[in-house]
Amino acid sequence: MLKLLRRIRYILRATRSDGELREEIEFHRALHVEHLQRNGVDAESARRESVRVMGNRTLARDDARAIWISPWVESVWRDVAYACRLIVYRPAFAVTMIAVMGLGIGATAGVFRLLDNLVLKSLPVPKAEQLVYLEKPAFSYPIFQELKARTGKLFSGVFAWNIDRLSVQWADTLEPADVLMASGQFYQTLGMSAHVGRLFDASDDRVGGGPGGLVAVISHACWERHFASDPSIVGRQIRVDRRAFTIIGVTPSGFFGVAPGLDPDVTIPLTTLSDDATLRSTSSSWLHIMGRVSDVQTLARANAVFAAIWPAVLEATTNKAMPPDRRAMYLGRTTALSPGRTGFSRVRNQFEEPLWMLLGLVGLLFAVACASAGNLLLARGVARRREMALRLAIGASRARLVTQMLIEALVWTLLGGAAGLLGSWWGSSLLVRMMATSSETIVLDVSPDWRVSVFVSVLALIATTLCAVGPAFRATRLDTSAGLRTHGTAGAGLLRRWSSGKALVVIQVALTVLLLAGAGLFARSLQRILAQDPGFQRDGLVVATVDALGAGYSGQRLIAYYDTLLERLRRIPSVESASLSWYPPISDDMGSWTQSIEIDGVPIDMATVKQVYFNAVSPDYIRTLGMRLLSGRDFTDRDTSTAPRVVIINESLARKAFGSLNPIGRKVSVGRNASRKNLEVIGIVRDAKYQRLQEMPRAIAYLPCAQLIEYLEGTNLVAEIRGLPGSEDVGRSAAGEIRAIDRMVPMRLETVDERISTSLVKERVMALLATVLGVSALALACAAVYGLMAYAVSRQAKEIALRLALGAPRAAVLRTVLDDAMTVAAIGIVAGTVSAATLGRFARTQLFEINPLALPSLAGACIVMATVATIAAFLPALKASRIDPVQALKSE
Amino acid sequence: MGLSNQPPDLLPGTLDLLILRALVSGALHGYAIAERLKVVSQDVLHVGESSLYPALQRLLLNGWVKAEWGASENNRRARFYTLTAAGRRRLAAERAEFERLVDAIQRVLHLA
Repeated sequence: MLKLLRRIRYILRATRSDGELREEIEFHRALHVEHLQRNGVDAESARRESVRVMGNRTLARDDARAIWISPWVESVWRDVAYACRLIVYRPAFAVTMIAVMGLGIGATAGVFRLLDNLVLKSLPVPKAEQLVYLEKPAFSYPIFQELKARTGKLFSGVFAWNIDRLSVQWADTLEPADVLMASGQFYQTLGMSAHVGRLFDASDDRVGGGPGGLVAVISHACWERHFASDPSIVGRQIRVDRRAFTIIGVTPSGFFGVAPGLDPDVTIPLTTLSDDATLRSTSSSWLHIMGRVSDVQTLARANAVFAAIWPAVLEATTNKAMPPDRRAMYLGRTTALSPGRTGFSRVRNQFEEPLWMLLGLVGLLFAVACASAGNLLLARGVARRREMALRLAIGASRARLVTQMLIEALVWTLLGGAAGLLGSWWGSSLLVRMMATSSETIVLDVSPDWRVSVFVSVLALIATTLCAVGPAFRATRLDTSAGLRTHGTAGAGLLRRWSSGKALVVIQVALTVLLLAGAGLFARSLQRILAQDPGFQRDGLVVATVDALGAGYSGQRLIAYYDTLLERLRRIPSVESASLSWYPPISDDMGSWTQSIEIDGVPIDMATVKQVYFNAVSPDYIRTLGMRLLSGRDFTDRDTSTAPRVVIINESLARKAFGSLNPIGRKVSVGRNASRKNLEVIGIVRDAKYQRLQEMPRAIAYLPCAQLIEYLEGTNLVAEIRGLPGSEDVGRSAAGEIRAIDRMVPMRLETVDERISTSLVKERVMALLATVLGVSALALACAAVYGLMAYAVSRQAKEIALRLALGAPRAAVLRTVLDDAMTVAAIGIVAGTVSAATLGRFARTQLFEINPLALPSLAGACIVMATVATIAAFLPALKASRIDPVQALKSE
Repeated sequence: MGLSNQPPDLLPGTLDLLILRALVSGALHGYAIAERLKVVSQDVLHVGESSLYPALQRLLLNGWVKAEWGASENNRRARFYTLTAAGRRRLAAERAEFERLVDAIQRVLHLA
């Protein structure tokens, strides 16, 4: 080991070390000459005598050096230098190699980087492997409290957390930001300490704030962005959800909490913003729970301990007033500890599977790129066969030549890898931007790190092995006699029945078909989703999201604000109608409201209707959305909080709950709340999509906003606006009106089409990237088919010329070349189709109502590939048919 | 490579041993080592640069000697080699082994 270090030190200071050695030997020589002169020899003879005795001094130095640097290191170095010189001498070849490898490696590295950051990397905290999280992601606050009290021996620390998008007021701007709410032991359990100031602890985690009042910790990135890294940040105030918080500290750079993909700007103690009812409720599950397992024990042992504690936690938190069946259901909840080394995140839940699938797809592209590079190297090997034969003839060992060719290939691959690495930064950040939406930010660190560099180096080594070993051995094989090459063809074709080049092209074609089929599946799935009937009119429908609560409205002022809003929107000349609701059409990540119902006092059978989805809407909602009322009436302004309670249900709910009976006039009770008992069904509407386009028809009930006025301060309302046909600027006019009411109310306007496209971000990313990858592979395969046929034609120009001279029609030659290309392509296409059919099931979870075996995408991929292969082969075929027999035969 | 330049009358590997022994009495530069070997061996062992310096590099690499630049007798810059602790141990081991070997050869020459 020490020896290696000394060696490396010598090599690092090579110039100096060599100089020292030279000086030393010169000194030795000088002393020797002096010695001879002292003994009476004249200067010239002394010098000659010393050379005779001492030998060649350069040789002496080289021998001494060789102790430090083995000769093979130098020969490797020479090969590397030679490969680099080739970039200058044969730029086209080298650049193609580097570009092909760069594409393959870069694409793979780009996807890997995201996977690494989102899924594989440990949390940036000390000893992350000790962390565990509770499965079944969400729990209530009482459960957390009980758990904390009972797991003192199991956990050295345990905390609950939740990330919410709240309005945050910095110095002068009010904007929505991700806010992490974490219980008191959060930082202590994770083992973090502050970069500036202090981090909060259990004493700060009280309703209404601890001794220091309401306190907040901000992230390092937020500190830089909003406060210009002001070192005197401690004590500054920000407003979170209208309440003033004092900043007490900044977390270290790189710390983002426990949810990869998110980087909350602000972290506040869990209970400070919560109301008593939420904290006491055992039915609202809104917390994720993580803990640190105290001593070094296995997960299995920790789980055994946990399993003994869990039933007691449930028992202690159950509501005694619950009906027995609900109580049994509550007590039946199970959970277990899972490794929490990489944290827990909704971004990961959403994108982990698509990213793995993408990695699979880029892996295919990588394989296609390797095959392309292999083909290039094969062709180059043929061109260098004479050089190789000559060198073998004068005594170079085959191992030496193979090593040289492998090193050359490695140099190009590494250069390609470096180019790919550069490109992948751009690609990764582009992908992150594509994954994020206007309402959901995704923060992933895509800056250079050693993990991706190592990954790229490994890929480069794999690529070199895959693409260069075969060609290197082939090029240095002496027995590739010319006779075999030209007479190997049985029958009329140009290609030998079997060759490595042909095999590589077959592989490329097969992989390309596989990629194209995949792209087809994802594209068709997306198309299928978009073609779903949403149950309302998508065109010209605008949704305005306003944060009146964030701007400080409450009570009567809030009611007045919404009244003014609706009135002003309706007065816009280009607006046909407008309405308010709790959830917008395609609520997506804004969630849903579900409850159980009773009909005429009888609970609805859970087996037929699992859940009923609710929305509270204003009059005109149905008209604004363009939904169809099947029977009964819409809500009107007379359905006020004092009027008889009413409900409108959709087709699915009517069918499932009432069967063939007429629901109009029947009484429905929602949950256990007295104010929502015995609501009269006044209308039935057609099914409409609630959360996203790809959902199955849901049982939905609509309640009038005005009869739920007591919940108004719980959630912001959204406004739906339908413009008159042909009116373009509805959104802009609406924005103007909303601003005119109160400039301080944050708002966002988007069309329903935009909401749909946001809700389909995963599907769009998959479809787009799969298509890009498919097209890239297609381009490589196209080049490969062209290369193979062009080479075959040029090599056998004479044979073709002879046939033409003997009277073969030019069309026949054309067809021969095309037939050959088609045979190769056909083998590849069949192989690709078979593998696509086999591998398709892995994509099933990401597909919407599409059978991976469905004919259209497979057939489409085959047709595209066959067409492109024909076009690629056409040029060489044309060239072959235009060979001038006289010219070609004369050139002997 | 360097081996062919070694004096034919020296057993392979012996040069390292001799250099280590020459350094026991203190630091020497390369030429002085060669001189010392020549004088002590009564003009039998002539060590040329082509075998001396590779041997020295080998000893440096193994950490048996260390080298420092200093001034020679007539005030010229020269590299002086000193034995390290590991070098001393190595010398003892090599020497025991060498003597065992020579004894064995002697016995064969006398009795065989």
